[in-house]
Amino acid sequence: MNDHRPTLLAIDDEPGMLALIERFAGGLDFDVISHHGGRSALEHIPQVHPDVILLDLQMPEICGLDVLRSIRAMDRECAVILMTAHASVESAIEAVKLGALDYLTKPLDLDRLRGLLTTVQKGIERRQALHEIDASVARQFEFQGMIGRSAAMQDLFDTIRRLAPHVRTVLISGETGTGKELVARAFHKIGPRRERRFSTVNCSAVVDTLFESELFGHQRGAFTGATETKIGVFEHADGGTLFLDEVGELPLTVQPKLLRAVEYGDLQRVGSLETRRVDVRVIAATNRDLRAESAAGRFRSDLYFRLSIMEIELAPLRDRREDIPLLTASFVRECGARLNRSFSGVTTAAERALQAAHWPGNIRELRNVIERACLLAEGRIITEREIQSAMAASSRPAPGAAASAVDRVSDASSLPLPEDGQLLSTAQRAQIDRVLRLSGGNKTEAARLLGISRRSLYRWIDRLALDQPRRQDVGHG
Amino acid sequence: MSDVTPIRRWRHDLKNQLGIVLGFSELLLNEVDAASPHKPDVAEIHAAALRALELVANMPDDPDGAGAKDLR
Repeated sequence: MNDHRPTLLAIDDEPGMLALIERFAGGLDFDVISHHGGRSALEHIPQVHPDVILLDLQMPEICGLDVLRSIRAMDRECAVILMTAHASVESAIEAVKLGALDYLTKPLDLDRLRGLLTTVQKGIERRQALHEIDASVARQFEFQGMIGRSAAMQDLFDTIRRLAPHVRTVLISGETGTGKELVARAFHKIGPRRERRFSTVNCSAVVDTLFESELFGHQRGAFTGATETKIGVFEHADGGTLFLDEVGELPLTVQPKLLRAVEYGDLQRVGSLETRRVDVRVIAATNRDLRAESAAGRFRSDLYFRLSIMEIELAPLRDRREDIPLLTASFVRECGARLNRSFSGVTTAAERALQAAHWPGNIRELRNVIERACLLAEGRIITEREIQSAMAASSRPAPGAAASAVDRVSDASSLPLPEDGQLLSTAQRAQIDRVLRLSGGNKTEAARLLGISRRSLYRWIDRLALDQPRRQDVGHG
Repeated sequence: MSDVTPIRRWRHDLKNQLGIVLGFSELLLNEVDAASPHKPDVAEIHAAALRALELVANMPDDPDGAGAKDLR
């Protein structure tokens, strides 16, 4: 089970003592690293990332309790055992306050030390075993790329399995990061159209005036810039599935036409009188309350009712916290594989921090935090400190998030959109592609890294996608 | 440690050294085969180190020998 030897760091000014510890702990399958003084040891702790530290209390250069304080400032969780040939009640109390695992008097009681080191070893093995279990449970409870053993998720998987073969329209609602697109893809993948195309349109990324052309296409000469006839996403997705993300952003003017297309499969390209018929399964998603939007007149109620014949609401992560350990284990494993490192999970304190967080960005946010923590991680086990700094980075508002609408407009225009038909310069394309990969597909994060607004990033992606149809299409038989 | 007198320092260092002798002899006692002729020798070293440790522990803190003993 334990595929690595735990590391013991011994700090004592007495070389004979270090030799004894090396001999003893080496026999118990520990990798022992020795230091004659506290200062050099403290410098090395961040690199060595020991599982347990044996620390002498009386050293000439720096006192053991001060070393312990510095260790605690670096790593709250590492087990520290103090040793002293001159025990005193005061230092023992102080050691306990600083969270020392034990306080041993010299000459060392080797049996007691053996007991302590075994405890440390067992603790590591237990964490590792828990991680293995969580990761394997996560695999067991995985469904089309989604993980969850909570009742909410199991119900969702059941619903998808039951309905995917039959439904023609689905409305998926849920907060950002809850996996709406994954649900849409699941519907597609286990439905009868799995061999056909799955196309995506993000409605928040399309310029209002171009919506109609985007969805239904246009005839050459239909408007300025329409230099050639172009089909819309509906025709592109004919026979397959069309995923309309952030459908709540759809302008009211386009909504009646969308309703016709959804209801009867009828559409007209902009600038053409000819009605075309398509067979498209429409899956729409929104993070808005469309019922309220339609009641307030901001979304057509007939379209809402048509789309919401089958409505699926995704639970936010904070309402299914029991899935956090599984998701964590799965993401840690995934990141480890990507970084070519073997992690044995997260510490108990790190797990508590993950459990307690609010997760406004839901699973996407959790995934980003884990990914960042894995990058930060020094050792095999991800610590609370690493999780905390990853979470701090994730909750930091993106620069420009507070910018006014005016700022955003100018920010979008500072990155000029390419002319119709003109290819993006290779450098820009490569840059956007690279940043998207870096951010794991998280558009908000990618936009932040690029220093542009989310909306203008979507426009860029759109352009890229037009030039690279494979980005949009999956399962095209 | 502001209360370190020379005798305390000396006691501390001596205990440390004896601890090393004790520790290694204990390791050897566990590892040497029961039938080995070295076993009794190691046992002697171990016992002597223990006795020395006791002597150190019982040594008075002040030269007159009237003062309180150290905790250990």
